[in-house]
Amino acid sequence: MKTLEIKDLHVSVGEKEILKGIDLTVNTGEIHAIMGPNGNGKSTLLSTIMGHPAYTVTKGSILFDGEDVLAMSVDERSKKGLFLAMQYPKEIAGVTNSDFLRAAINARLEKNISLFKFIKAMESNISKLKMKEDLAHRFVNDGFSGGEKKRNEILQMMMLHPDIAMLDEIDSGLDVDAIKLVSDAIHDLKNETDLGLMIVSHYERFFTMIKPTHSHVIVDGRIVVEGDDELVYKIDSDGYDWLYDELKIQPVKESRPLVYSLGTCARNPRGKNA
Amino acid sequence: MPKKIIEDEREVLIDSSMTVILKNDKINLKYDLKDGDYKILIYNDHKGDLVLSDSGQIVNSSVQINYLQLDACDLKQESKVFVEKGSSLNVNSTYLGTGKKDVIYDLYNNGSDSSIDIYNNIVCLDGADFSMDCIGTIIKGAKRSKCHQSTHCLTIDSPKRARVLPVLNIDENDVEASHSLASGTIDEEILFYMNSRGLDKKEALNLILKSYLMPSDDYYEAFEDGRQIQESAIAKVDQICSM
Repeated sequence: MKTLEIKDLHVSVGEKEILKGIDLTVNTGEIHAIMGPNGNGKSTLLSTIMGHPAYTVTKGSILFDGEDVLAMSVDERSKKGLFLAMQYPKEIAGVTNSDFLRAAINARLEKNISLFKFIKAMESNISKLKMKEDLAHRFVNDGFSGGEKKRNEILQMMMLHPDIAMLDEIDSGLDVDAIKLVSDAIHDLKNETDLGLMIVSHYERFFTMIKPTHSHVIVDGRIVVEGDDELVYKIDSDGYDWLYDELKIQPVKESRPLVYSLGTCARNPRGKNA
Repeated sequence: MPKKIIEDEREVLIDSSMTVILKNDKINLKYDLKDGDYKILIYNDHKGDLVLSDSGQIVNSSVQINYLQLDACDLKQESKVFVEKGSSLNVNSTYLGTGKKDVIYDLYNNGSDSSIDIYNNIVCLDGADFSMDCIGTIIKGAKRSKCHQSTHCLTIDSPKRARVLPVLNIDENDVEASHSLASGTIDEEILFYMNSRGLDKKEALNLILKSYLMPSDDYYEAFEDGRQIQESAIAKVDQICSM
């Protein structure tokens, strides 16, 4: 069993503190549901664990299997067994899925994977996720629909065999059938490899299929309540207001970028701004 | 399609489709391309610095010239080609910039109904000093001619210089001409995405550069020993990315 241990984690973006003391322990084999209103730190937590350079850890620690994750580069974290399925996967025009995944697999092996073994694994996983057969030859996420991108994240997870996978709103953009496919694939992988999961989602439907063993609610950068899958169902039916009342807390309101009008540079003939 | 490996000669005549492998430090290529369709691949496989001069005339022909320059050495290149009445020239150039590279394309629509298309793909790595003047000239009398140029320049880390100057000199009416230039660096989010799958920066760059610089398999198949050249080109990108 491997353990991801987060202690008193404080994270800032620029001057703004987003996470204000997160304590969380995730073991392989466990499924943790991470919930909370938008803009309160869920994605920040996952991105920080993976090492996104936009986030600065100002206090606290993250250990994985006893090793200091914060001292590792992003690729080292991946090679150690952490995986982040992103909410908005990037498009890499010109790089095919097969070249990308082969390089990623080879990066963690001493001896490169044989082409035969790679193709077999790729085809099997593409088939499980009912993705298009030409996927291997398409550029990574380039021209993919929202649902295809999410399934491609799961495909990568299945090919890379992480110990702990973090899924950031992987169900958004998936139709009902695709959610079932993805949850089945996650269960299969979990049964094969004792995968541990941290899952951010807003939807009970996905959690009903995934069956979390633990659940946590993040409000204003802190875990304010924890429980099992019953907590997921309560939040789905009652929302978060009861929590705010009971704990006398307020969520951070999701901030949107301010839009400034620069006016116009055009001038009328008399030299005044138009 | 013949293959020409230039090791000792200083001047070489090109009058047919050809794979030209440069292995000398100073080379003059003379084009004399008439009455046909021609495809030419010029691949720099010289291990040291190179001064390349290529010039000539295209008469009643359709010509594609491909330049593939993936070495860390210095390069000085001057290409001057006259495209005569009714002829066309398609230039595809690829440069992986380290060291000092000065490139000048001086291409002329030298007759009516002539056509020139230029596509440049450039990567400037850390410390590179790259300069390109890409000049298209439509002379007086070259009516209904076309001259289009498009350049993509990717910079990695901190090149000393990455300079591309597209120029169009137009001395005739009733013509089509355009130029475009896109320059930028790799999106940090893409790099993070690739890192998050276990690829370190060099491995990620290797994949990106190959996608950016390397022509398709079909491209190589059109040339004599194209596969060997493709393998050699891949090895050069691997070598530069591992530095």
